[in-house]
Order: sequence, then structure tokens, then C-alpha cells
Amino acid sequence: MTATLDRAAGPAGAGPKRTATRRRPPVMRFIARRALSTSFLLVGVTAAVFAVSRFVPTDPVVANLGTEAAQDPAIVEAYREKHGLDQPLPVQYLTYLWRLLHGDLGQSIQTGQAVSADLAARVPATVELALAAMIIALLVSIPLGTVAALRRGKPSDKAVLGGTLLGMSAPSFWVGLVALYLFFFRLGWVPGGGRLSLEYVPPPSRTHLYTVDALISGDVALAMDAARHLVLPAAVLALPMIALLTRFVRSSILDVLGEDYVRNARAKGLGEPTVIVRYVLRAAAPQILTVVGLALANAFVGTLLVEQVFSWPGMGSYAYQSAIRLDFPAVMGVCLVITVAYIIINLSVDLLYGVVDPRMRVTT
Amino acid sequence: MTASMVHDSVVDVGRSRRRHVILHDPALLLGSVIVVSWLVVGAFGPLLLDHPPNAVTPDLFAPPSGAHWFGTDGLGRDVFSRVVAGARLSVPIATALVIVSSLVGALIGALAGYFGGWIDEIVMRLTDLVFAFPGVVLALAITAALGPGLQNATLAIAVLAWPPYARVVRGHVLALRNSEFVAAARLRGVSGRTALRREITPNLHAPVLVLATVDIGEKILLLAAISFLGLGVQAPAADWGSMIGEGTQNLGEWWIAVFPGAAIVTVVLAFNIVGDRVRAHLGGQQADTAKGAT
Repeated sequence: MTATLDRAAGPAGAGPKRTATRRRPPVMRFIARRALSTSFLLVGVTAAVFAVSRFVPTDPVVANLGTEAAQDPAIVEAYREKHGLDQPLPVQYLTYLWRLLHGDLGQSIQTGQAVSADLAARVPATVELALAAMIIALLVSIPLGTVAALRRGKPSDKAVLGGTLLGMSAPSFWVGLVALYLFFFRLGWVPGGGRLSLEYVPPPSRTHLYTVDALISGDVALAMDAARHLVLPAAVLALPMIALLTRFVRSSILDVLGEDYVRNARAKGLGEPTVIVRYVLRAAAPQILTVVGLALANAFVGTLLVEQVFSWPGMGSYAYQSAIRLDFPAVMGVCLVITVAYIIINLSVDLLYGVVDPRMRVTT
Repeated sequence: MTASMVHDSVVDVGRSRRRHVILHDPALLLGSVIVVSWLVVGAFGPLLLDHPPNAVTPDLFAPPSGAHWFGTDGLGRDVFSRVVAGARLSVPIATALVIVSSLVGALIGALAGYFGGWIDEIVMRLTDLVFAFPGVVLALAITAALGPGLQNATLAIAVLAWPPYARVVRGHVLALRNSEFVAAARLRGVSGRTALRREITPNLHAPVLVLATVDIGEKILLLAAISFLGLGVQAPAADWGSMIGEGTQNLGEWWIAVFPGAAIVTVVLAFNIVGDRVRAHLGGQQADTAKGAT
């Protein structure tokens, strides 16, 4: 405890004291500043996506009307007017933003439905998968990184580091395919894909996460079935994260291990477990918090490549099917949703980090 | 005795030491050997093949055997030949991509860092914007917009590849610009542009090299992912990522996807090992800060 306080007191306590008495507390200013820069970023991201979708080589009029109708100037004119394509680009962008704010992501070519409706049906599956992967990644990488840091330079540390390099080098969709072949096709330990076996009906929706909903409704068999479907894709999705996060945790812990107060605690005769838990992990906590956010953000992105392999009915397999069929509005919709989620997760981590570790407010 | 002379002699000492480093570091040696082998396979392998990589035969889904070492796929094409032919695409393209984008990114970063002002502001906001997107997502969006194909996929990856270099180089230039040896050069009457080229640039080689070696592996993975999604290399060209994509349809015929995937793992792992060792030797801690967003 004293450790964290001592470390935090230095630069933050000395610096912004004067301004803090005059204005709002530094935490509030920090949050306001980060929230503001994130909203600028969101405007930039939507503008970029808008620009990309406007500079498509294929003419949207021809693409949507077909070549025959596109011959008729009256039809083309009417179409352009209806969709605002006759307006100047900035106006078109504002219209686009206005529609986005109302949840309108355009219409999917392959399903004929609104992209937002398609996605809404698929988001819960992706959230469940990403959360499960995040939990697995944290449960593995935090202990693994800690142990590797404590055994720095020994064979076990080198083995962990080598393993993480391997984990970073394997494409997740390939690992998924190999895992599915082994554990489903050869060994039959897990079901072959989807969220539930055919004989089960999805549980009544509360959270839309099948495992949680099934437990809430008290159906243990259903929860087990959902969990059996979830475990392999989640583990595969977690693998590259484990590689990245283990390295991150290891170096965070190494930073702390070199501090005087850790040596002091050991010199006092405190047992190694006490030193690790009360002094080292506690001081490294803010950095490990960042790891949680990184894990979740990466999990969302990773679903893009993993879901299709496991026929997991989420945004990732939707993106795959849309990409394969060149369903442009659907691809852009998925990209936008995943990017916004990514930005928001990163923002929340930054904010939490600033609250937990006052030093960060000064530097960012 | 000028600062740049001192500096040159330091670089020379480093260079002669570096020549022996590779022999005394087994991991670096192993990684380099694998990388070079894949480049050789890509260059000469396709010339030595018994079966042309795109030759369709009636021998569908044949498991690995003496005739077809890695089996055949759903069109009876030899998987071994296709894996070898695939080395011609991924590895050289990713390498060229990283070389070009590191040079462009470094140049942009150096100009932004040295001249500052509105150039710096624009460049940094642009990198912020690119970093805001997850790499795969941005590459996917741009490729989808431009239309599927290897050229467009490469272009899309290039768009998101330069910012890490711009960031790292800018940071170093900012620090070096105010260092004593640059001030000394300016006092000698050296122009700003010459100082940037002669005094600052030699100090940027190490951080850029550290970033670039790991980056090649990452870009091979990204290229494979886009091809897996069907937007990169188009049929019938032999490409590792698209071969894995074909494998998803035929789970029982494991050899279709396992071998191209293993090829990706070996080459990316080799690049990662080399990158890791290069970082250890050049002390590239500073390169860490700009990564992570891709």
C-alpha cells in the first residue's frame, strides 16, 4: 500500500497543485481532455470510412441500379437525388453522420436487410466469445508473466519467452482450424461449431450470453452445452493475446522488482508470496489493468478471423461472408462497429489508468 | 575533432562488432538461416517442381504420399508445389512492403520532427487516426473498397504500415535535434537540411531496423489474413492464406490447410526471432512505445 502511494506522490503531487486549487480537480480535467480527443478521433474515423466508401472505383449508382437502369439519365438523376448523391461532399458526410447517429449503417446486399439489424442479431455472440477469450487470456498470462519475471534468465523464463514468440507467429484462423480438426474431428471432445447443439433451444434472453442466461434460468445441462461450444473458439482467440500479454506482464513486473522498496520488503524478512502479492503485483496493478483493456480490444478484433472457422454466428463470420460476397455496406458496417468498440475500450482503459495512477494525468 | 567524426568512429566500432554477433548468437543464426532458406525456396523452388502448382489432376483429395508429399487439394493440385510457389508471394511482398513503408514513414517522421509546426501537427494527427483503427479492420475496409486482389491488399497494408516508423523517428529526431553534437554542427554553419542528413540520420538506423524486422512477420500474417478473407490473392494463384481458406471447407482433408499454415508459422517465427535478437543487440527499448496499435 505504502509502495503505491510513495510512487504516486512524487510528480503528480508536486506538479499540478497550483492549478488544481484554481480549477476543477485534475482527474476531471484529465477525463474531459481524453474524452474530447476521443470524440475528435471518432469524427476522424467516420470521415475516413466515409471517404473510403465514396472513393470506391465502382459507381454506387451502377452497382445498385444495375447497368440497364443506369443507362436512363432520368432514373439515375432520381436515384442520386433520393440518396443525396447530388449534394456536395461535406453535406453528404453530415447526412452520413446523422444516419450513423440514428444507427443506420446502410443496407446489406446479400441479406437485403439493414446492416444494423444484421449486426444487432450477431453482436451478443461476439461479445460472449470475446469476453470468454479475455478471461482465458488473463487467467493464463498474468500468472505466466509473473513467474517468468521472477525466474528471469532461467530456462523456464526462456521457455515462456520462446512460447510467446511462437504464439505471435501463428495465424489464429489456422490455429483454429487445426484445433477443430484435432479436438472435434479426431478426438470428438468438443462440438463442431455454432453456439448450441441442435437439440437445445436458446435460453430466455437476459444478457444474450448463452452461458450466463442458461445459468440464470437454472438449466445446467444447457449451460454446459453452451460452454462446450464456447471453450475451443475462445481458447484459440485467446492464444495470440496470451503471447502478447505474458510479455507485457513480465516486463511490468520486472520494472517493479528492481525498486528499492521490494528489496527493502525482502530485507525485512517478509515471505516471498507476501512480497509478490502485496508489493510487486500491487504496484504493477495499473499496468496490468491496461492489459485487461488490451486483451478485450484485441479479442474483438480477433473474432474477425476466428469466428468463421467455428461457424460462430457473430460479427466476425458476418464480416467473412460479406467480404467473400463483396457485400460492401456490410463490410464497412462491421469495420466501423469494431473500430468504435476498439476506441471506446482504449478510452476506458486510459481513463481507469488515470484514476488509478495519478502520474498518468500529468503526462498525457 | 568534430562531433560527427567522433560519431563516425563509434558507428565503425559497432559495425565490426556486429559482424561477429550473428555467429555467437544461436537464436539469431537459426532465425536468419530460416529466413534466407525461405527466400531461396521462393526464388528457385518453383523451377524445380515436378508438379506445376496450378496443374489440375483427377487425383482429388489424395492424402500425403510419395507422389504428393503434402497431398492434393479439391482440384487435384499438388499441395507441396503450391506451398513452395506461395513462398514467392508472401515473403518477398511483405519484405518489400516493410522496406518501402519504413523508408517513407521514417522520412515523414524525420521531416515532422525536425521542422515541427503545422507539418508535425498534421503528420501526428494522421498517425493518430491510423492507430485508431485495428490493423486488420483498416486493411479489410480499404481492400473491400478498392476491390479484391493482391495489388489492392498490398496498397491497403501500405496505408497502415508507415505510421509506426513516422512516430518512432519523429521522437528520436526531436530528442536529437536539441543534442549537443547537432548544435555543434549548426554552429559550424551546417544548414538544417544537411544536419538532418549527416548528423541525425545515422542515429535513426537502429530504431528503424528494430521495428522493421518484427514488422515483416506481422505483415506476412496480415497479408495471409486478407487472403484468407478472400480479398487478397485471387484464385488460382497459390497463396498460403487462401489455401488455408480453402481448407476450412474440407476439415477432414487436413493436409490442405496444415502445410501452408506451417509454412506461415516457420517464416513468421523466424522473422520474430531475428527481430527479438536484433532488438536485444541494438537495445531497442524505445521502439516499443510506438507499437501495439497494429
